[in-house]
Amino acid sequence: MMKKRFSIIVGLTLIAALAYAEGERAPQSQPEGESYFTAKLGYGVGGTSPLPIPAEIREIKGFKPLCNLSVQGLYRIALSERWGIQPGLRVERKGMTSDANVKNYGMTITDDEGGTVSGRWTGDVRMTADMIQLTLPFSAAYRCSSRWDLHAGLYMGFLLRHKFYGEVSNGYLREGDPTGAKIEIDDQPQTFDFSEDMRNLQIGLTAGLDYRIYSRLGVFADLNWGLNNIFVKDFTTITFNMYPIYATIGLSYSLK
Amino acid sequence: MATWTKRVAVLLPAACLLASCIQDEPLNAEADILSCDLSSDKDILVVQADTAMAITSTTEKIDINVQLGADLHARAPKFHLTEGATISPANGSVHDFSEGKSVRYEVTSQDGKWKRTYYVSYVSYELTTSYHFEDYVLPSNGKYQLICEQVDGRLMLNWWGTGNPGYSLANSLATPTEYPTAIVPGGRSGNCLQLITRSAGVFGKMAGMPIAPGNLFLGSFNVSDALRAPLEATHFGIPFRQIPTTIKGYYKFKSGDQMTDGKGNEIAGKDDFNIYAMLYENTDEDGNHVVLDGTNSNDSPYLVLYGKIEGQGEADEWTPFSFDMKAMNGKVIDTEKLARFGYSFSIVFSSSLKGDLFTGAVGSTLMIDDVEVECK
Repeated sequence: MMKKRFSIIVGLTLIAALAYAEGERAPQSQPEGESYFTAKLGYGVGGTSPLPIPAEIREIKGFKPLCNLSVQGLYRIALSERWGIQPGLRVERKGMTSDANVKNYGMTITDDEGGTVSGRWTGDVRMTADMIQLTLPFSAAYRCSSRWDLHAGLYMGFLLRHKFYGEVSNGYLREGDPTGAKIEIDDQPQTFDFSEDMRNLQIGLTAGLDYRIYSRLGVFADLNWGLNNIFVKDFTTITFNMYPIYATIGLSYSLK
Repeated sequence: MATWTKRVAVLLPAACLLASCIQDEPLNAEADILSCDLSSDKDILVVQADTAMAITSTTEKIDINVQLGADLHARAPKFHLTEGATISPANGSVHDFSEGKSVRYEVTSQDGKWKRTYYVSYVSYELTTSYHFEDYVLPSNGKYQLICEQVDGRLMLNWWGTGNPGYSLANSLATPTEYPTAIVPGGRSGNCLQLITRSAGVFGKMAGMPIAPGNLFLGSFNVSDALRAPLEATHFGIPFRQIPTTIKGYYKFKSGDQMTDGKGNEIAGKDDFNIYAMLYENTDEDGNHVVLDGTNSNDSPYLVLYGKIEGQGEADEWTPFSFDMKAMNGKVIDTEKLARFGYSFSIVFSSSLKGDLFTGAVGSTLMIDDVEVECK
């Protein structure tokens, strides 16, 4: 996974460098104050995390983003020479796997057919959060120069698929609350799955910058910061809110 | 340029990480008595090697087994607690435990948010030798019965152990008589013992335990081991000062329809039940406490006597059974050791013959009543 991620970053950087070498002369042909369409292909790195990290999480032992590709189309509507608004449509994946050690952490150990035991877990947790969503970003855009653009705004995401699952091992569960029966689990993990407890709609803040290398080709970096808990309100097993926070880098291509 | 993108790609997640550092470790929320330190009671204990008496996580009543006639007016048991927890009245304080008085201790967790209450008594009742399966109590969580014997009007809760606490993990919605082990009406007179092999559900299957046979044994069940090492969770034996010779009683049995193996696969054949009994040395050569469990109850070098039912099978009506205890490992009973409670005795009932291998038929039903242990 790390290897895959690395090769994507190297690949994007290479393409950008080649385009740069080839397109030294191009940017001044970019007309200002014009409305146009841009397509973007990106790769996201980030996580679904509580903020701040609650005291129940004692150690984060490992973290891996999944293959978080995104494809989006944006339409920039010029309002003045420098300002514009930028609605868009994006399909993206936000996924990650983490390994943590926790203490007295709300947990329901489950299986596919409804057997469950709930309580407080102390030990190792490996979890995967994986979401595929249709996102509507809406930003204000500002042109700094013929090469640089900034934008900031809001997004609303509709989850097409949502999964949150994992396993616990090397620890013990106190059934119900910390005074309940103590159930030890060794290195043979037991599973949990909270996929059904996730909300379908996410909202958040988006901000980023674009750099034009060539008249049409550019690179971009965005930060998408989720503002609402990924779980529904009546889900109480995990006692803190978790937010998806992902940075995306990639290539853009403008149609003018 | 490419450096810029890289910088952004590195700086943004780094900023997120900085906003979310690992916090200081929270204080412990557990409030357990983990074990009793009975070194001040060593002289009066039934099993003198058991001064560090382990307490399971589901225990609410702690009975300290002491010799008959011991002076209990001023005893000062000490308790080993969850780290940081506090106990009231004070640890090691002196109390009057005479005439069956119990002392209520309250343990408060390190974070102050959780409390557990324990009732501690010193008991000197000897294990009885006839069992009619009339009495049970429902613990504070009300999930399953605690099967007990009545001696002089006092309910002895710590004699019979069952796997019911383990089943509660597989089926948290079961009512007390839906558990594998329960006291029910319909005995030869009054109530009787009902053992039914239940499905442990997908949860049990995942844990390598597709069935939950009904079982009852003299000893205790440590639910902490129920998933990790279920056979080690059954701690057999109660200190005993007599020599058991024959085990007698009455049973009814019906096999469940479909046998399954330890992986939950269907196999041919019929289920059968099992009853066996053992007497073993409860202290090793170095003076350490010995407890037999489901892994070694039929081949331990500490076994002195062992007996097992033979030729059982289905029976619709109450049918008598009887089997004799036979010497094991070439050992003879040391009468002096016997008098000092140096041996522990257990009878084990199971509604599936190979229940210890999680092989059996869901629905196999064993009813037991009026069990007598003949001694010499």
